[in-house]
Amino acid sequence: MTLLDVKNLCTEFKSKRGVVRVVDDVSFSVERGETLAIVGESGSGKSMTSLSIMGLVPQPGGRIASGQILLEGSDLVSAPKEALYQIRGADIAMVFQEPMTSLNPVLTIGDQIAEVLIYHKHLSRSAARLESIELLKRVGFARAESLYDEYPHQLSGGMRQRVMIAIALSCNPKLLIADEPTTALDVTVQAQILDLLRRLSADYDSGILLITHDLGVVAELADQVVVMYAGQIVEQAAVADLFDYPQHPYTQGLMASVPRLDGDVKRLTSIAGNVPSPDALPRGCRFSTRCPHAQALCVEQAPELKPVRSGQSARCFLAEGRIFKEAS
Amino acid sequence: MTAQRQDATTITPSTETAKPLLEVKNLKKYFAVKSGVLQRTVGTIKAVDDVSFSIYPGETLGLVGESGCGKSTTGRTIIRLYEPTEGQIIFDGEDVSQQSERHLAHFRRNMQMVFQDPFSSLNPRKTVGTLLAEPFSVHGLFRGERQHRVDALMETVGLNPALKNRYPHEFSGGQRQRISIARALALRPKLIIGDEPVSALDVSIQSQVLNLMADLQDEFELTYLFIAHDLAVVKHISDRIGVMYLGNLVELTNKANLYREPLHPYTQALLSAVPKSHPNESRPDRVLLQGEIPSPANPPTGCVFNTRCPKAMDHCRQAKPTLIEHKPDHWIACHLYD
Repeated sequence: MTLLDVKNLCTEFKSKRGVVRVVDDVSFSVERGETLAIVGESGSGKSMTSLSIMGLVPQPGGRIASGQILLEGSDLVSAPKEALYQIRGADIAMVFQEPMTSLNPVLTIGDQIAEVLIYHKHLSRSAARLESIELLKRVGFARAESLYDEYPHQLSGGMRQRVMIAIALSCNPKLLIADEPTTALDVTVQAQILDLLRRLSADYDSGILLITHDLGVVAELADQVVVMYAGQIVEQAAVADLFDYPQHPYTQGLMASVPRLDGDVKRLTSIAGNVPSPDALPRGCRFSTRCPHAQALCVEQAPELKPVRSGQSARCFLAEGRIFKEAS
Repeated sequence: MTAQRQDATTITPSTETAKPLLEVKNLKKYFAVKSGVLQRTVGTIKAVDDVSFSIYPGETLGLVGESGCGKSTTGRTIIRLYEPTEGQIIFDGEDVSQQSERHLAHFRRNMQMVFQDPFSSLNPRKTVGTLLAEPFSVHGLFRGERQHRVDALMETVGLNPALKNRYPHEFSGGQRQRISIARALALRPKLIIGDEPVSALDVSIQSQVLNLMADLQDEFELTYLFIAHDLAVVKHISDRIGVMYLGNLVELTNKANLYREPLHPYTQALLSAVPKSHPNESRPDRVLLQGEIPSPANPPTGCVFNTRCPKAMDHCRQAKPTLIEHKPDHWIACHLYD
């Protein structure tokens, strides 16, 4: 059975200027042992997608308007709150970007890991302590025993993120949601954390939903990739296909914008303009205001996400073959 | 633009006869750690510890390193936002490290800074037009034609002058960074210090701002000190690059040398830790550094990198290596190359 199946997810916010749809008809699935990355820039809706899956859409104002989120077949959207408490932390675990704010500053590291084990696995305090120390060792701490009694402020950012991962793994989750897990970290520490995530998905056979803006992190970790723009999926592909044959002009632009270590260009390609605000989206294709290939059809009609190559979909008339690049 | 940028790459400290625009000699910046009711000094943080380099007119020198390596402190000390503890800052032939605040005005016209966070570096209660006219009023320049100058500045950085009566919050991050750049540019400085100027921006916006900075460099013959943690960004914009670790400059060379043949074990680790640019790329030589950066309040004795260096020898724990020119235009502080 598919581990996570998100079907036609729509998440909305009430604002002064009316209802704003920040996640619009998003569908994808994650299998066990597989890493799916959602890539996008600020305002693309990638983080709101992950919060929707966790049932953590900011209240009041935000809500899942329609769609299904099936974890091994059972729908999380319609599940009662109490059921979600059991699922979160046990079946689905989350690692956030900011390890400074996601750990409680007045509890010791050990207490915060043990808490999860006591709540979900009903372990005794002493058994939880032993298992917590074991988890800390597994995420690479040499002095796990002494760390157990330390407080978050005594740790560096990378160490805190490893503690977060230890907490996330404590109940052997089926799905790990990692929202920008390395964005706040230095590159040498990022390499340690990515290495850790890679080994853990292999060891535990967990599925990983990775939310990131960094194509390098995608190349390192992902099997499948979903590219989001202005609340919608614009492209979906296996990672190698996405890097070799990006179909959507936005994906192409994103790839070309990144300065690379291998290779030297005098001038970077850039995508003109800015991401449109969710309450003032273009009528046709949402990327049409910035797209170098946009034509009359793109301004008038909104394209749908359609298969364009084997195992690869794009939301673009050009990729579909309904329009052709104009000779420049 | 191409010709000029290539010229700059050939400028090297060993072969160049041109006078550097900025010379930093043995710069140190120590912060006192105070504690208790009496605020007694209980230790010192050696944020910048004996750093020397030069920047030549028209080039971009990149400073890279991880958090806490002292790259930002170096930039801020050069522009005298921090008082240097020791060392010389020679700008355009004049030592500005000891000058009084009153004498710094002229120097500051020629050296400007662009900060990382375009959200906190612009006063939210002033319109963009006011913000951009401020440098002129501070220096008492262009009375009567300031508004005209502000319009021109906005056009230069690709913003519509009609937006000058708006407030910073009405602009996106990328537009705000353009405003910061316009303000740094207002007084036609010779040197602009960029402290992580693009790291808060989305990648598609980041490339717009990097292209803008390259264009402005050509148009106004600017010299840049570009401070960043992103090695690919630094490689893209810089002619020469210095790598810092724990307050020390450990390697300094042109970008071709640095990325083709990094010599310092830290530089090697740093480069190999950069995520690959294609999923099929293999990184057999990846060096995963163990442990964390030591605290600058209590740096290791000997070489500052010895606690994490995969090639550390006994000698590295005892004596601190000095920055030497190992090959033409390739400076390195490491006992492996003594």
